[in-house]
Formats: sequence, C-alpha cells, structure tokens
Amino acid sequence: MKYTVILNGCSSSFIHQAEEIRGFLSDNKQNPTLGYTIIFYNDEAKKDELMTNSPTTYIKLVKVIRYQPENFLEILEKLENNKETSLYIFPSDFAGSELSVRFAYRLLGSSLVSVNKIKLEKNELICHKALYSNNMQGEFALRKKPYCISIAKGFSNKKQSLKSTKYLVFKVDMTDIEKDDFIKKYDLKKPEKVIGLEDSKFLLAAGRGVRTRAKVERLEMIASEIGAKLGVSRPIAMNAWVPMNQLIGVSGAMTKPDLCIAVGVSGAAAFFAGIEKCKYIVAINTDSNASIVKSSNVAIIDDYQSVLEELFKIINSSQ
Amino acid sequence: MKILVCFKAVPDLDMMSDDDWVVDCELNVDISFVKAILNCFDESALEMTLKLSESMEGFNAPLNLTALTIGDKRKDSFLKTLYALRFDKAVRINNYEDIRFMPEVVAAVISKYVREIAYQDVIVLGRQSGEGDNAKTPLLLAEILGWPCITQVVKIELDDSASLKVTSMADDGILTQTLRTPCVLSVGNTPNSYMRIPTLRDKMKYGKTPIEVLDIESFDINPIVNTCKNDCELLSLKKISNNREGFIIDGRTPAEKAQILYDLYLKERLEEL
Ligand SMILES: Cc1cc2nc3c(=O)[nH]c(=O)nc-3n(C[C@H](O)[C@H](O)[C@H](O)COP(=O)(O)OP(=O)(O)OC[C@H]3O[C@@H](n4cnc5c(N)ncnc54)[C@H](O)[C@@H]3O)c2cc1C
Repeated sequence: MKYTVILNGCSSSFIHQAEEIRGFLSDNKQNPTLGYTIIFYNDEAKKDELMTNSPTTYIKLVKVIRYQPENFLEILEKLENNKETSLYIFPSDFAGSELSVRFAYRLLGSSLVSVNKIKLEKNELICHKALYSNNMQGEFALRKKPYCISIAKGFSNKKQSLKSTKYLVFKVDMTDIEKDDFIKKYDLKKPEKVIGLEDSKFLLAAGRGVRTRAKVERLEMIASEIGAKLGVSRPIAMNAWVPMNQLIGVSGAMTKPDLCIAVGVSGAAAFFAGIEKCKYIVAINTDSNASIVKSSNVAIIDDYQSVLEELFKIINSSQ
Repeated sequence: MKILVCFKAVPDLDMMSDDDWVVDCELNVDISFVKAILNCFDESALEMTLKLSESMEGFNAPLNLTALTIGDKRKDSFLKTLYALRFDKAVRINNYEDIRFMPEVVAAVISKYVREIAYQDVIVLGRQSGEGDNAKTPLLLAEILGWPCITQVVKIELDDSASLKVTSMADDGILTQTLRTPCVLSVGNTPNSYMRIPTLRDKMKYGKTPIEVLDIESFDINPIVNTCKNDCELLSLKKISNNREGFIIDGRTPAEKAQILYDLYLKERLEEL
C-alpha cells in the first residue's frame, strides 16, 4: 500500500504542517506502507528546508506561483491519475481540508475532514473523528479509493525526529497551470498581530460571562501583568472585542499550556477541545453545573471578577 | 445578481447535559428536546448577505436573495424570519431522511436546484454544521457545479454587476480578491455577524409570504444515498468525556477563595512556568 502526504510549501506554516503530519503518522503507523510527500513550493531558496522537514523519505517537488486551490487541484489531478496511491493525507489547516475534499471528488475517491485516528484495512480505511461539535467521537469506514483525509488539529506537539535520508523522486515546474482566471484582483495581507496561543505556557481564557469590551480589556491587562496570554471563547471573538486569532477551540487555536485559568466560560465541547491538552485547568464560574467545572482540575464558584482581582493582587504582591 | 444562501437549523448542543448523550442502535442521538438554532456559520452567511444587500440600496444593480434549507416543516419559522428580513424567496426542500453524514446528498440537491430550478450567480453557505460536522458541503457543491470556491469568507462586497470583492481568512493572512461570478463562498469565523432581528412591521408585512416547498424525492437522491452509505459508513458513535477532578474550593469570600487557590494550587505552578 502506498500513501502520499500533500504539503503546501508556499505557506509560512510549512514547518507546522510537516510537524503535525509526522505526529499523526507516528501515532498511526500502518504496516507495510510506503510514503511519499508532494510539496508545492514557490521559492527555490527554501527547497532544502522543505526537503529536510518532509515527513517521508520520498519527496516530489512541484513548483507553483502561489497557493491557489483550483491550480493545486488541477496539478494533483495530472500528477496522480495513475491510481497507485490508496491514501492521501492532508494537514489540518484551511488549505488541507479544502484540498482533501475536492481532490477526492475529482479522483472519484472518498474523503473525511479532521480525522484523528486511522487504520488501513485491505478494502477500507477506518477513521475516527469528532462529531456533534466535539461532543461525540465517530468511527467511519471509507470504502472508495483513494481515501483522502485531512487530519484533526493538535498533532503538532508530538515532536518527531527527522529522518536523515531524503530522496527526491522528481521535481516539476507547474507554474504554467492557470485555472484561476476568475480572479480579477488578488491581495494577501499578513495578519497584524501574531498571538501565539498554541505555544503559550500560561493562558487566561475568557468567555461570555465577561460581559463587556471594557472588562475584556481589563483581562488583557491582567494577563500581560501576570505573564499569561489572553484567549477567548466564540461569543467574545464574535463581538470583535479581540481579534479572531485569539479564539480558542476547534475553530480556533488548539493550545497546550501548563496552566489555564478559564473565567466565565461554560466549557462547551467545541471550546474545551482547544484546552484539552492543558496540564492544569482552573475554572472560575458562577454556575456549579457548568461543564467547565467538571472538566477542570480545580474550580471556584463565584463571580469571576471579584476572584480574579483578588488573585491578581496576591500574585502581584508575591512577585 | 442572484444570490442563494443555504442554511441549516441545528440543535443547540450547548443545552445538552452529559446524561443527554444517549446513542440508540441506529447511531442516533435524541436531540428532539433541545431548541433549534441557526448553524453559527450559516447565520454569519445570512447576515453577511443581508449586509451586502443593504450596502447596495440606492444602486442600480438589484440583488435577488434566495434562502434555502433542507429539512422538515419545523424549519419554516426560520424561513419566515428571512422573508421578514427581505429575502426575495425562501425555499424548503422537505426531508425526513437521516442525511447527517451525507454532505454529498446535500450538495447534489443544492446543485440540482441551481441547475434545473433557479439559476444563481453566487451560493453562500457556512463552512461546517452540526451534527455531522462534515465540513464538506460547500466544497462538494463547487466541484459538482465546476465553480471556484472561496473558503473562510468573512466579507462580501459588490464590485460590479458580475463580480464581487470577497475577503477571506487564509492560512497566511487575510485575502482580498475580486472575483468573477459564478462562485461558491464558504463562510468561516466572522466577527459581528449575528443575524439581525426583523422589525415587527416587516414581520407582519413580509413574514407571511408563502414558502416554496419542494420534495427531496423529486431530486432523485436514492442512488447518492446508497453510494454514501457504502462509501463513508458510520460504524460507531461515543461520547467524548472531558472530566477531570473538578475539585471545588470552599471559602466565605472571593478573597478567601483566591488565597486558597493561590496557596494550594497555583503558587508552585506559577513558579515553575
Ligand atoms: C461547529 C461549531 C464550532 C464551534 N467552535 C468553537 C470554538 O472554536 N471555540 C469556542 O469557544 N466555541 C465554539 N463553538 C461554540 C460553542 O459551542 C459554545 O457556544 C461557546 O464555546 C460558548 O462560549 P462561552 O462559554 O463563552 O459562553 P456560554 O456558554 O454562554 O457560557 C458563559 C458562562 O459564563 C458563566 N458566567 C456568567 N457570568 C459570570 C460571572 N460573573 N462570573 C463567572 N462566570 C460567569 C456562566 O455561568 C456560563 O457558564 C462552536 C460551535 C459550533 C456549532
């Protein structure tokens, strides 16, 4: 059986993509399988870095102008119409999930998004993924080859050592593929502020219980004073009280801090998935029945503001 | 320009308590007792389209807005609200089948509607919806129609009568593109996109416009349902447990509780950070 990983080397998140795929592959070893990685790239200077980080020994390099799904799909269709690969694995980012579904459609295969576990059988691929807004785990059998999956977020913390030998199977220039003439103007702007919730050791997470923009701003200040980063639940991000890249949860950042203090958050499964890997969770909530209380290590049932201001004083005076 | 917004009314899963998650032998979860809400991404899609339409008042380029959902009669209340918010047409494709894990069927039905019943220039829909969390419908729809698909859309503006300026979140930043229609727009996390509430006057005036009801049978879905059942079969469904100790700190005042929290549980941990 042969599998192929598809990575977007045009993106600044390439290392992260490669890391999470390595984490996923090491958790899901399939025997015997032979792995290839197709890396799309647009900068010759980065080629060595891309090759070094490849999750598999065998690599195919494809030169393109930039990430453009319609062009990537056209290229993949051309390169991969030989039916040799049973399983295609895509990363968890926006590009990975969109490409996996559309590519499967074009190759008449089957697809599944956000897969967290697989087992390759002779005539099917058993896949696990979260359903019902992360409240349930479902097990599926995909039966139409090629199986095209994008992996769930959160595999990147499983650091794997890099295989030293790399073998370049081929390198092609596909910069002439132009399936994007529907675009009249194109402008990509880098985000203004990178928050880095994923790598933070100490998180303060704020939810709807923090009722106003002013109170969220106060939390932002407290967080920076005590050395924490502020993350928020969906309602706070939806109100645009903080930028969307401070959202924690399945649709936002999947964090793994040593400590998280969650205030005014009910602990809905879609949110909790984003702090599930946290070592120690403190919840402050007025409702003892909120699910965050059961999902925390220790909880205080009270108004978050009174407790947090007191805690802030204590931490400040002890520093 | 004709714009179709497709949405799904979903159970408000935040209302379920731990004990409510009971799976029957058909791999169904009884969610009949929780209230239905608009799927959050579809809600953003609807509001985004209303904002677009509003921004064009006074322009000489009319937008024609249709809202479509697949579901049973209970979904009509959402469609009535959309009429009151001045959608030109509200369509329900009547369905009682279990298509939770069949985005292929949903995409096929919508594409048939667009190809055979009412042509559209743009289709806007949320990126993902519960209960299935498949996150595939907009992508499959674009493939079936052979249209481009922009994902994680956060803003739609009019460029000219046949093109749109679309802002979306990309892995590397914020992407703004001017696009020729037709296209599929898949809506992601969008700030300030809770759906507006219609005025009482508009509710009275427009809310009673008849909903166009079509039967899913007429879309000839049986072959696709059968393929879906085989190609991607759900084998089991289990509750994910997130429980930890959940130890509750006792104390008379917030200050006392904060002190206990710090002394017994945080001091050392903070020092180690
Ligand atoms: C497909 C999908 C994806 C989603 N993705 C995400 C995601 O990535 N991230 C996310 O966060 N959500 C996500 N959600 C939404 C999620 O289901 C919840 O609706 C959301 O997490 C609830 O946010 P909350 O806890 O802040 O608000 P609520 O559920 O309203 O909880 C507020 C809490 O604050 C407490 N409270 C109120 N006042 C006080 C006070 N003074 N002091 C202390 N506590 C107080 C209340 O007791 C309550 O527990 C998603 C939903 C769907 C359907």
